[in-house]
Amino acid sequence: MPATTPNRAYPYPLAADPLHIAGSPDNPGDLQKLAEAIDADVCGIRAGLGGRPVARFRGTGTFASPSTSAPLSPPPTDSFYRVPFDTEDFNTANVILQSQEIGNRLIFPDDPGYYFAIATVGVPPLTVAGATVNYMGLQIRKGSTASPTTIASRLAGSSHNLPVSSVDDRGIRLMSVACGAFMNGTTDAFCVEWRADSTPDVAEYVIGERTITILKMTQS
Amino acid sequence: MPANTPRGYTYPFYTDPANPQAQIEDFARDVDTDVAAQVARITAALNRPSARCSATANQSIPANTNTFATFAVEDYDNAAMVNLGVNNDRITFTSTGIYMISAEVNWAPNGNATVGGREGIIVPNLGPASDARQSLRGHLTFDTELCVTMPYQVNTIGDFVRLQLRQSSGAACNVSARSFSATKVAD
Repeated sequence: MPATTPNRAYPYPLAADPLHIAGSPDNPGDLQKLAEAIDADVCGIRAGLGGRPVARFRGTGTFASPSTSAPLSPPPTDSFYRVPFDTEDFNTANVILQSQEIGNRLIFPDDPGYYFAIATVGVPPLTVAGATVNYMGLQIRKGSTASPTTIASRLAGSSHNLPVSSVDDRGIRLMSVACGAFMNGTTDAFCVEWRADSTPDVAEYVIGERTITILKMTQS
Repeated sequence: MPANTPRGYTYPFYTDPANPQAQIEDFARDVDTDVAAQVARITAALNRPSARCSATANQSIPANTNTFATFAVEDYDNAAMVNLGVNNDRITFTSTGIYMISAEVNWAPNGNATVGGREGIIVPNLGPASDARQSLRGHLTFDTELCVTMPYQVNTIGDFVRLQLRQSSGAACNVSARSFSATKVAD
């Protein structure tokens, strides 16, 4: 009756094992079983080595953020400043792009753990004649898939108080924000919000491409 | 006299007494120990030391005075890097390696006619303030949010980082929501 090693359960023979049919220990057979067990184990370990789980989602084309009367003070009371994403560039982290309809727009990590997230938004100049931009804010927030339209809690933010200039900013400003956060793998979901304030208020501010990159740093 | 591979796996020489069962067991146990150690290392690599702390209550920042942000809630900490009861303004590293550090803060407007600037800098305990800083012109009536991210190499356990704030509005200015996080990305 062969024994097994304590950690990986590799089989090895004991001196008391029954003799092979030739009347001697089956050394080649024992070595083969051990070799095959090690081989299968190492293959299994190797299959799990995909590097750090990471995902990136991109929102392509333009997006008209509604209303430009939305400073952060007081905080917004609705979820329609969430920007939509439509493209999965890569995803080894089991992150799920939820419905990108208005009121949802959540990005759900299906596994619990501590995540590091980076979001960017390309902001072109406001093209409405006579309107002056007072404020632009980009935030990563934590929403809930159990209640998608509930206000998401703030994880991190970044703002600008100067309008985008077609001269100084080469026609576009890339705003970015990053943070680390624990996500529970059951309801917690990332969302990205962008808002602006202008004088006078205008109906919308059209922004460009946006991304969110999510790295998984722990397994629980 | 058996020999060992570079990873420490034992194998017999032709001149050794033949004892196949014991020699196979010795080899199996060596591989077992080594593979188990590698699996433990892989598991550790997928569970990097990470921590986040935050606060929402106002902290008053005097004008033109370097002030460290303070935090009240330990949101996550799998490596005992945040100890708010001892120091509520820092993340202290409990293992060496390279970390990604991110700090962000929401400055509330103070209504002062002199708006001035708002600044946030990640400051390690060793050496001067880092290059990881952001400075923005504040706003008379709107919040101003700063976000700073940097990689940082920790060579000594016990080193720490803090978030230093400064503003030049000419009057005290509150910061409200703020957070500070660190996650190890390499040994």
